[in-house]
Amino acid sequence: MSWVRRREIPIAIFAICFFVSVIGYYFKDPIAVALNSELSGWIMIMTNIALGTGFIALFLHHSKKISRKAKGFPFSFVIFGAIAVMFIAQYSGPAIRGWLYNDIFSNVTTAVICFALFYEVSGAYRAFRIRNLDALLLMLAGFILILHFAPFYESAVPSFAVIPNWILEVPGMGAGRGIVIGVAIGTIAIAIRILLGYEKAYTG
Amino acid sequence: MDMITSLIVGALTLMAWSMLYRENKFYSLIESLLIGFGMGYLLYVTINTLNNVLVTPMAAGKWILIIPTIGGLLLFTVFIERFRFLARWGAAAITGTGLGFAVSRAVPVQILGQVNQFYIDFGKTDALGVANWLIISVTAITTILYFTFTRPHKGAMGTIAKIGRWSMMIAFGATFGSTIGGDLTYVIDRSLFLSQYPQVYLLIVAAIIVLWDIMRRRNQT
Amino acid sequence: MNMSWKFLSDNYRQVIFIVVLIGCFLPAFRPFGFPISASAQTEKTYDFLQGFNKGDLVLVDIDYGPNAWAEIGPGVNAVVQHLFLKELKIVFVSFVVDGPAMTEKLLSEIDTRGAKYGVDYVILGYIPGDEVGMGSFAQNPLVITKDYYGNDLNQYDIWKGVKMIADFKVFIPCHITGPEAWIRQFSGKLPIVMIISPAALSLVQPWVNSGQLYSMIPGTKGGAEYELLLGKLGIASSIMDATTLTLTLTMVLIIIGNIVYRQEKPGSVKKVT
Repeated sequence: MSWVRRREIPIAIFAICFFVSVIGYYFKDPIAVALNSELSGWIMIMTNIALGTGFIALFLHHSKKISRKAKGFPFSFVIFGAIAVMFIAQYSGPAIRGWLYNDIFSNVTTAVICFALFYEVSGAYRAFRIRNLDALLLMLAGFILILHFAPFYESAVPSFAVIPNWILEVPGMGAGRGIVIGVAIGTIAIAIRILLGYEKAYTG
Repeated sequence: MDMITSLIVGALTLMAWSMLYRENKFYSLIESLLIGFGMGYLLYVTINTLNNVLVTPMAAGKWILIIPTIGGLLLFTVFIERFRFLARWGAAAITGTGLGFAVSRAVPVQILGQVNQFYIDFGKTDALGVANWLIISVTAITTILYFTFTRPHKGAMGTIAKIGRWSMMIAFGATFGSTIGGDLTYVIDRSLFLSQYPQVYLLIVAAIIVLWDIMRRRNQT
Repeated sequence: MNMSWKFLSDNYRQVIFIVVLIGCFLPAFRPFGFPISASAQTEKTYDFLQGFNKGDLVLVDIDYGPNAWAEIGPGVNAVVQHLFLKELKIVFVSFVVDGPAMTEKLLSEIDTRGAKYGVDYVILGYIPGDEVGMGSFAQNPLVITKDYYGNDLNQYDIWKGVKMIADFKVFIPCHITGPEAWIRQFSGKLPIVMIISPAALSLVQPWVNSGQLYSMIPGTKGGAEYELLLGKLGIASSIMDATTLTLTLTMVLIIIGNIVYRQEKPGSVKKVT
């Protein structure tokens, strides 16, 4: 039964799904469109089932932590308790559901995400140091855009808006266009690499 | 929000922010709560959505959906060493379809849609417009060519790559500045909340706890 | 290097934390009332939506979770408030797991003007599959047969007006990631107005310039400008005072960072190679 472990099987599955999706888009043949539509429905089901793998991974990791009484294992009980509370709350009616998700979970998540800003500002403090021309360009563009997001300055002196808008709409957009085209070419390249069997991450 | 909820949320917010002072068990508790709540909601939505897209159609007679069900369940074999290879079959189907959708639209929308913008009608564009078009075109083309690593970045190619790098420095600097401007709202939102009654008094409690801890650690050293 | 610069150099992180907190808290206790003005993109979006008629069908895609609410939530609130004020028919959809819950949060925070579920708006819930789900929905919205609460969509008046994606007058995706997936799947089918994170501004500009994206609202600042145009100041506007003060302090810190750097290493500007 070693043939089931062969790399060609996942590559073949990849190729079939890939070409059904592509052909279903470019050719308006009813069979191709119907196949594409049915395949998308199947993939939606599979990705939904796949969400469960995250839960299983978390469950196994923390169960092991509890059984070994590893460092921080009491917090694993907190995690399991919180999972149960949130899950049951979703079936308990809009008032409890809204209280737990909107008032508690949403606000506390915002509090944790706050760290991003503190570390970004300390990152800007260090990164926006003028060491060379590259750093000067980075710093100037960043500085001007920070000014753009402080609404007082553009409101007080409307002509201030010209420079950040020019940066966003001309050189910034040019680089953005290059990145957009580059990303599209990269996506096509990845698909070709997988079809030819070079990408072992997806097919083994 | 009622007073008790405000105090609970205020306390949890300050426990989360205690990480700014130093790592501690209050923050670990918040982390665990958030992971649990997030996963609990994910579980609910997964079951709810499966009921809509799988269980109901199958109950109505669409038995062919057993195929994607098996395909999805194969993904769980990733946890069993001996059968881990089966998970690649499900992953290959998902990746293949996803890339098929992306690649088929990437050509007309991303590539052709953006390359079209390199065209300009000189008769209808003023001098400033032409200058801007030139800068946009040069920055776009040099950015694409910067990522060509099959030729060494020397001579003319080196100059092109350098201009591409400068263009990206401007774009990334603008992105970084914008990111700071955007992420600031998280802290301001929480600050506005904490400045209101009754949770504003929790700030005093938090300050006292931090000062007490500083004195305690100083006495220990 | 003198003592104050050395102190700053050794403890820059703590100083930055305190400065940022001062900048955020001060306006909360003592509002400054800094003025704001609407940008061209925000005005373009406002004028476009203002031109719709009562009963027009619009599609709003809530694709962010609680980890992104403060960044774009106020902007989404302002735009969706406008849709309800115009008495448009709104279909809410999500391609991320947290989307439906954020939709409910959004609806609890704005004035829906007595809109009735199933008649004036409906929540389709989470559609799995990421870009496959988006593409599938864009090709045929009728692949979705049940709403977020598990009810048959065909019983709702609002859903009777939906036969294909072009029945919607506009598509408003709200998210904090790059815009490519939404534009790939929906571009060319109906106008797209995006509410985005400010961090994605550079990536979104090429699409606005090419016309594949009609317009965009960047984050909470865009939301504050939108509230100004709407004449209904809300949470986005209340955040702007602290935004101005804190960003000003950030700019001062960056300048100080460069001065400290010069103090650490005199003549440290390197020649460009």
